Amino acid sequence: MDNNNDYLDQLAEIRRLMEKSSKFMSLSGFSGIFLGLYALVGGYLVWDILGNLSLTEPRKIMMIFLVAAIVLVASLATALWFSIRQAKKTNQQIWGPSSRQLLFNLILPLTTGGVFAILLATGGYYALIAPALLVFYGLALAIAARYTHRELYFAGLAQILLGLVALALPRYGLLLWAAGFGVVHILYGLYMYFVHEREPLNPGK
Amino acid sequence: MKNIIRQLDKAFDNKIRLGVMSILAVNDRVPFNDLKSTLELTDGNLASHLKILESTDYVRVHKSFSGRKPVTTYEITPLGKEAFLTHLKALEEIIRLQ
Repeated sequence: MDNNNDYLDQLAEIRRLMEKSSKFMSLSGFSGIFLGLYALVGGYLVWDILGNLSLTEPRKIMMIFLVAAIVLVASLATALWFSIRQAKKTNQQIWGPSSRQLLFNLILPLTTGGVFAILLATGGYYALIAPALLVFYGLALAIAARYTHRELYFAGLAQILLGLVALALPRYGLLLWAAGFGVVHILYGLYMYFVHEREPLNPGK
Repeated sequence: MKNIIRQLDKAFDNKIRLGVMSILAVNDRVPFNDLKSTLELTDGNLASHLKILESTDYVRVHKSFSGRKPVTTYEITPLGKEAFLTHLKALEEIIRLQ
C-alpha cells in the first residue's frame, strides 16, 4: 500500500461502509413524487366532498376517512415498492440493520400522530387535524433523517412550519396540508432524483 | 512523510479488517450476521479477521441468547477506536500532503 490511490480508496471504502451500515440509503425519490401526487388527489377529493352541499355531515366524515385510508395505504405500498427496487439497484438489504433503525424511529412519531388525528376527528376538532398531521409527520421526518439521506431533515422542517402556519390560519388548513403532503413531497422527490439517482449524462466524466 | 506512514496501523492493512472497524466505529454492537452481510463475506473469512482484531484488543465479543439461538455481537474497544481514528487521521494527512 504505497500508492496514493490506495489511500484514497481506503478512505472512500471506510466512508461507504460507515454509511451503508448505519443509514438506509434506498429511499427513492420516486416515492416522494408519487406520495405527493396521491396527497394532491386526496386533498382535492376532500375539498370536493367538503363543498358538496347534498351530503350530510356524518356521510362527509365517512367519505373523507375513506379517502385518507386509501391515500395512506397507496403511499405505504408505493414507498415500499420503490425502496425494494432501489435497494436491489444499490445492493443494500431491504430488511437490514439500517432499514430497521429507520423504521423504528419513524413508527413512534407516525403512529402517535395518526392516533392523535383520529382522536381529534372523533372529538370534533376538525380544524386541528391538518396542523397535527403536518407537525407530527414533520417531526417524524426530521428524526428519521439521521438514518437515511440527510436532506430529509429539511423536508421535515418544511412540514412542521406549514403545520404551525395551518394552526394560525385554520381556514387554510386543507390547502396547507396539500402544500405539505403534496408539494413538499414532490419537490423532495424531484431533488433526490436529480441529485442522487439519475444516471449521469456523460458517464466518462 | 515517512513518519506519517509509520502511523498507519498494520492491523488495518487488510481491507476486511478496515471494513469491520469502519462499521463498528459508527454502530454500538453489531451482530456477526449483520457484519457478514454488510461486508458481503463468508463465515470463515470474517471470523478469522475478527479473531485477529480480538487478539489486538481492538474489538470485544459478546455472546448471548435470543430465545434458544446464540447471538454473537461485536463492539469496538476504546483502544480500537483510538487506533482506528489515528489510522484515519494518518490517511487524511498523507492525502493532504500529496
